[in-house]
Amino acid sequence: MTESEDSPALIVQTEQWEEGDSPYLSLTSRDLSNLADVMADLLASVGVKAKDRVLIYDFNTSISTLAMSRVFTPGLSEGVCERLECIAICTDGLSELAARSAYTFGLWQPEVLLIRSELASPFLAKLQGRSLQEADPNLRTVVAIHNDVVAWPRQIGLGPGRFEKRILCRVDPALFMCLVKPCGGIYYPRGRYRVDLDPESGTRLRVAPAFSPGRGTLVSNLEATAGGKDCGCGEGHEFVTEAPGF
Amino acid sequence: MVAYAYDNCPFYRSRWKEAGVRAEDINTLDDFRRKIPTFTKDDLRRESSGFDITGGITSCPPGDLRSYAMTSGTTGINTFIGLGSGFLETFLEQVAFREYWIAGLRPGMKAFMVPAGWHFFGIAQNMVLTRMGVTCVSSWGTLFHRYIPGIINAIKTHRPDYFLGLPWVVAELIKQSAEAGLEPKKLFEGVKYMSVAGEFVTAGFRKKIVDETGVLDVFESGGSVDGLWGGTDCFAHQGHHIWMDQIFSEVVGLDGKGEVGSGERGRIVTTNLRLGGPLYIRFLGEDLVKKTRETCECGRTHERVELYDRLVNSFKVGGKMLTSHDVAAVIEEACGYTVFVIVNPDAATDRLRVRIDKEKGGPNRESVAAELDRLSRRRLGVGMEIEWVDLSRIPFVNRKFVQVTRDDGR
Repeated sequence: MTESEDSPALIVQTEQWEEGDSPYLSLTSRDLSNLADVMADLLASVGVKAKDRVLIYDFNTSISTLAMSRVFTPGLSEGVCERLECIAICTDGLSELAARSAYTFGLWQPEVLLIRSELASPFLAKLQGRSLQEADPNLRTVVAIHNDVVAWPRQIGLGPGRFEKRILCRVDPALFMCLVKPCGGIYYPRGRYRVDLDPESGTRLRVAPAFSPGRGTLVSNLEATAGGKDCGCGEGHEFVTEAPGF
Repeated sequence: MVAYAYDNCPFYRSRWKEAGVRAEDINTLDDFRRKIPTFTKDDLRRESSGFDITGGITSCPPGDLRSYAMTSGTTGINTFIGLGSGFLETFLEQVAFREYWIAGLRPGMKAFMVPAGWHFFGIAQNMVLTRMGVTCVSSWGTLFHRYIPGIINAIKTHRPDYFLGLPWVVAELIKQSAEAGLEPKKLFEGVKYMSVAGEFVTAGFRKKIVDETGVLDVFESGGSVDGLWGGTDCFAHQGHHIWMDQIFSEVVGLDGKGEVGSGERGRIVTTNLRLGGPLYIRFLGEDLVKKTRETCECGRTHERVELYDRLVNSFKVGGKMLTSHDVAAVIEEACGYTVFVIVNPDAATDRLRVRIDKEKGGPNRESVAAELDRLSRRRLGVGMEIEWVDLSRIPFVNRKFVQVTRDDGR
């Protein structure tokens, strides 16, 4: 039995399939492998390393989750976990499962939490009055997953903690994923995407996956300005968006 | 297995020491059955900690651990199993491929399935599809009621030739597609086979699915991640094929003691025969089963296990042990497949209280209720008192309809 890298391994419905222009993503093994490269780069940029435990409170069908491990995804031979040698548990993305996710978080004490931004509140509500850091002193990084087609989250409500905070913005039809820092600086793996500002609006990020040229270019909803702006974090950023409220 | 477990698994070393058992005391199967104590899920949960969330039964070195899976948690809090680097490959080759070959899955097919990497069964399915070269078609989200329209759209748009899912999801797809004006046979046009898991599939339910969707057959995967045992049925639908080179199984009394005879109902006790992942040795499960060693109609000679239900869904009425599976068979005879819940069965004397989806009663609910009472007395030795209810009054927990509820004062 052999798999062809160019035939679809996974055809997955996007989150806004009813209203979206691209209700389905047809993904080859090569696409999935490239998504894993992107996600590995993003997570490594926030210090995720070998032996780290990553708890994912999001749907398995989210492209950020699909990239994480071969055990999560038909058609993927090596995900982030296999590349970075970290280990992940995905508890699924239902708000009804907040108790289960919180239980797993408290017991397992992961170094990294990937959580859909709208699930932060129900998740915290199940920590029995404790903050994220109090419930898990090991916690080093929290990444809130945001789908580009919904309104930018003004406040996610993660609460206080020593952990690094990021928003992972997904633009599914373009297979685009980037991290947004607390200063608003946008990080994405250079060479994997062509990214510029949409000439018409002048303020929205236009993205295309270099690893999947057939998908064309997409104007996202992510409002940004060109780099050079002093965001205060000391790093230069090619693009900067509204600083998120964590 | 025993020697390995004693030397490497803290859970077993501690329990067996307490029971005064050493690995060298176990030299025969009889020694194994008599001297190795059984354990339950609760025993394992008590040992689960941040240091080892699996409770100390993982049979691979800590550095070799590659992933975790959870159980469904339908009987309470989830438990976790740890999977070593080669374990999944071995499991795929020696168990999963056999399963899905029996169930009609073939390379090159397009299969509808929502990936569920949180559950061991989901992990196995993901990897089977990858290794078999089967294209996966998935809807967004997960298998839950509000995502049913998305599943309908995915099947309608991409026309898979195989379906993997849960029994209640199939029932909902049939119902909701018909309500939306799409004949279920049209929706499932092109789907040759289904493989479902998570709840028992009665003969009546299988017939309903085949008649209303036009699929050639529906295979049922049964078993439990707790104990890591299970298998699919074949075209004969006479129990789940359990691979005897992978699992050593025993069937004991409801109190967990004494082996019961072939063909009698009891609780399953499982011992895994492969290393590299969770190692269950005489795990006392919560499933009520019946086992047979007779050769199956399909020609396979491995033992078969018929799964009736979880122990929590069993009850004694008039001196007889019954399960929701028994009640389902009676209800199906009168109404066809339907969703129901048995209320406070332990308090029943002459009649069981059963809530049934009112849509199944039709225009003559009184006569259907009378027929059910009569059938139940004849088949089960106890009558039925029917309450026709809206579907929302039948509890749905952790993606399964609850079939027995207790302490319900209403």
